[in-house]
Amino acid sequence: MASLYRITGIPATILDESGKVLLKSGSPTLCEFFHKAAPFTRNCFLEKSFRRGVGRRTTTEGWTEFCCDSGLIDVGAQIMIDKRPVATLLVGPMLYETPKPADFMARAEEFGERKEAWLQHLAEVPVVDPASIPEVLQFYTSLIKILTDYARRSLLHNEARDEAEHSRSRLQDLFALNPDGVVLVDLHGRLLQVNPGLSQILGYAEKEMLNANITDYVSPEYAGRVSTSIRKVLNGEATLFKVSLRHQDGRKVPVEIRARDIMFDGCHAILGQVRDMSERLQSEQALLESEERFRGVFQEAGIGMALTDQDGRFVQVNSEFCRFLGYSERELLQKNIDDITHSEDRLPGKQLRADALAGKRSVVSAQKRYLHKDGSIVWGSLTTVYRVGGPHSSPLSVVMVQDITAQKLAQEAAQASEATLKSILTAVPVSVGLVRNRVFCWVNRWMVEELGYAEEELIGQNARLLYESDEEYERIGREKYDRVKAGHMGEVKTRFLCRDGRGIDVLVRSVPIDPETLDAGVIFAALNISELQKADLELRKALGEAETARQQMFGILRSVVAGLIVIDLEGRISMMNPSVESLLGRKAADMIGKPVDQLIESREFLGKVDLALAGSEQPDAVELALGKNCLQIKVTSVKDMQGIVRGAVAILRDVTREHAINQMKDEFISAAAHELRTPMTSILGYTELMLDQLEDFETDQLKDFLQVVFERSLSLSQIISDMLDLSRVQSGRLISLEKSPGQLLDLARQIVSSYEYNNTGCNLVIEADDDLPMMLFDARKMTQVFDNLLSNAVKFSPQGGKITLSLHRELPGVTVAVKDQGIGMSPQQQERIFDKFFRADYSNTAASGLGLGMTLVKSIVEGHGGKIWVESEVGSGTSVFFSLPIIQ
Amino acid sequence: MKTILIVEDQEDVQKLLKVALNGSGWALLHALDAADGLKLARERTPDLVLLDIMMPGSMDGLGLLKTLRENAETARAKIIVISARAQHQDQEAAMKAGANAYVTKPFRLAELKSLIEKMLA
Repeated sequence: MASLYRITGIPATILDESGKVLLKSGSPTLCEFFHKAAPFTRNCFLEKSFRRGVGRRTTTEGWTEFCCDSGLIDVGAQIMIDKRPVATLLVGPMLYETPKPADFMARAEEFGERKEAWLQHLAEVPVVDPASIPEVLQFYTSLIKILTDYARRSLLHNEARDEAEHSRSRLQDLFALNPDGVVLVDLHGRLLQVNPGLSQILGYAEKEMLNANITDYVSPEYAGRVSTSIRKVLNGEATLFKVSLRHQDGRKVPVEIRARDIMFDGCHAILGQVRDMSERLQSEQALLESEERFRGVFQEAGIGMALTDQDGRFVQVNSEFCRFLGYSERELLQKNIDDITHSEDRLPGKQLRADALAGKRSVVSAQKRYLHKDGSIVWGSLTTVYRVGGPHSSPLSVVMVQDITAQKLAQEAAQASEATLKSILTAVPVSVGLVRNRVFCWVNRWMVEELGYAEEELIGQNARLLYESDEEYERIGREKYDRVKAGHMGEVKTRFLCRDGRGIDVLVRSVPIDPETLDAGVIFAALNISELQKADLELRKALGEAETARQQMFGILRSVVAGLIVIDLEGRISMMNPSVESLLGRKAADMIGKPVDQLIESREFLGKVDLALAGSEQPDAVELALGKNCLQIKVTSVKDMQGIVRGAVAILRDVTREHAINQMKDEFISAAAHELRTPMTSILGYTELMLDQLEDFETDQLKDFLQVVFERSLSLSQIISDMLDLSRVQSGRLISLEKSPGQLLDLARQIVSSYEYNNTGCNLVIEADDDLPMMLFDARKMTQVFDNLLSNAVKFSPQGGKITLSLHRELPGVTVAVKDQGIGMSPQQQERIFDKFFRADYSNTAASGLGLGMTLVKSIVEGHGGKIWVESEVGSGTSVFFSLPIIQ
Repeated sequence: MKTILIVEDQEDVQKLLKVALNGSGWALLHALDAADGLKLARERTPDLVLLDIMMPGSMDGLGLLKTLRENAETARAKIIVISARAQHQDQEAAMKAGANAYVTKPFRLAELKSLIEKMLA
């Protein structure tokens, strides 16, 4: 406790309920001077016994500050344990201001004290900064808490002692009023008389002790002192000595014996007053123990403690302090506080020490960095109590340090992660912010840029600023905060108004910082979905367009006349159109996904497919005979925009008819040459003959020759005319007609008569209605029609076969028929009879002709607005009909 | 006297050839179709046959040519095919069947005469 005083520089006392001092540091001597006039008791601090007029008393938070009229100040408080008062803590006396000695001197004179002693005591009273009082009291509080245990036991002890006092008071009724032991011994130390007090002290009954020797009750080590004292008494000296008696139970009882010589029963005897000193010694012992206890507190406290001198050198350190810094006690005692302080934190420490030396501050709480022996930095939370105004040699400060390194590291890590988080939130391309009660507390840069508000225009503003209407603001509040309160992530779609009045669609998600309470704020992130929605719309549109294009493409592919087979890279059919189905007689449904060689087996074709899939261009078409049909197949690669082969396409064309036409063309050329060469032979031959041998022939002969040349020239002219008509029909124009009114029957008769003349081998008959109307027709072209039909009938009729030419009135005009009993025609032949270059029988090279006849006939009939058709049966003959309308 | 058989269905050409070849010292026979031509050829074993290809009836000129070559009596006769068919394959077919020459219509009488003279020399 003495060292505690040395540290704090403020006297302090702890009293128990009976007023007994439990702990005491420093001396309240000055008070004693004062209180000679106004007795001071601890009860001054207890409200119930506080007497007005002694000084000012202020009660704050369980502490009572007592300011004496003299200016001396004490602070006290009752220590309660289990709601029972067990002790009183008094801190003081002290002064808040440097005292004016003059004032005190006056008082000294008033009390009649010596000035020197007075001033000496005054100098011992410390001057304390009132601001530091709570911290000092706090310091003591920790001590008191530690002492709680002791105090509790002390309480029990008090109770026991109270009980003892009670019984002693009862004994007083029986024994002499003197509470001390009284003994009368003779010169040899024999006990002549004892009182109950002594009996009490030694534990023996009075009778037991009578006639015993005093030395029997003295501890052996004091035996000499007792005999010496007896001798002194006998020499006429009153003496007071302290010895230790032996109690009946064996323990030593410290006593103070006042002895003097008396006459007892006429003899010298010695009367001794024996005062039991046990109690007093116990108090002293308690004081010693409390010192020891402080040492224990110092050493064993979980907190690091150190005492330093005025230069900052360590005077005393505890084990926790050593552990905290990693040094041994010995090492630390060699060091200065600055040696173990982080360089950046040294200056404040020096300043504080300087302040303390100048008497400014007495208690400081701070956090600072220390240097551990291993070189690392450790953080400590410290309270330093500076002693102010003490002797130069005594310690200046006591430092109490708590190791907060782990806490500090965690805090630094948290700060670092918070900084990282904040920089992330700042950088993210999403509006992020913190709202408390819907007021913006923080927003990130993106939000500022996206909405066009300055940061300071948002911070502190209500979120209502961003909404289009009160209703929307309230709706969001309702929906979002309901969900947030329910512990979920709040998610709503809404529209934020930018500073320029533009609205952006946003998806806002919110989470509370503390799920327990919304007071901590809500973090929100608002994702601009305007662009997303736009992009989504555009994507849908593009998809729609692509789908339409695909459908169109598919439709086109399906509807093209040419057969189309799409082949994938594995040579499988991925699509085939209906034309292919009809050309090859296979259903698309059966073939899709199958290898293409199951559809077309041609090696030549499959070779082309392989080459096309390898990316090679295949300009040549493959021709395939499939039954009676002929197909032309062209295979090409399908390449994408990058030119990468994605498959192949085979285009199938039915060239059966083209082939037939080509064959007919060949036939035509040969027939045309023949037809032209034949008349030319006669023309050339006869003219050559006449030119060479004109004089050899007679006039009649020459006339015959010229007749032949003329007729063959006419034939040539007709052939050329037919060809011109044909080319006219072929180019889509109608045959040119020179129509004039007339009777079709008359024309028929003329032609038949010429045939009768030329072809006697046939039986040509005309059948006609009587009332045939006048018709409008081109006689020359119509002659060509009759000529063709009749010559065909003759050509394919046997010798003497009957050929009937009939003309009947049939509305709306006249129907003409040429019937023969010839070889007839198959249905296929009938179908093609009007095709160009078609001739019924190629094998019969004798049946000459260009194969243009029937084509021309049809054109002429149709040119007249009529129709032409054929009825025939192989072996039974053929009938060709045509009808002409009456044209007004 | 050498004998020439003319087989030609077109009367004006038949007549032209007769008039043109008359008086050159050859005996001239003529037929209007293949059947007639074959009959005359067997009876008279002509030295040379002028033969048209396109003729009516069951046998055309080419058929007659083959028959004449198959028949021992007529096999030695020189045969000149005279045809309006000017295509190469027609000419090839005729030569393959045993024709000695192929003349396309229209022809020059002078050239035909000199060809006949050469053949009969």
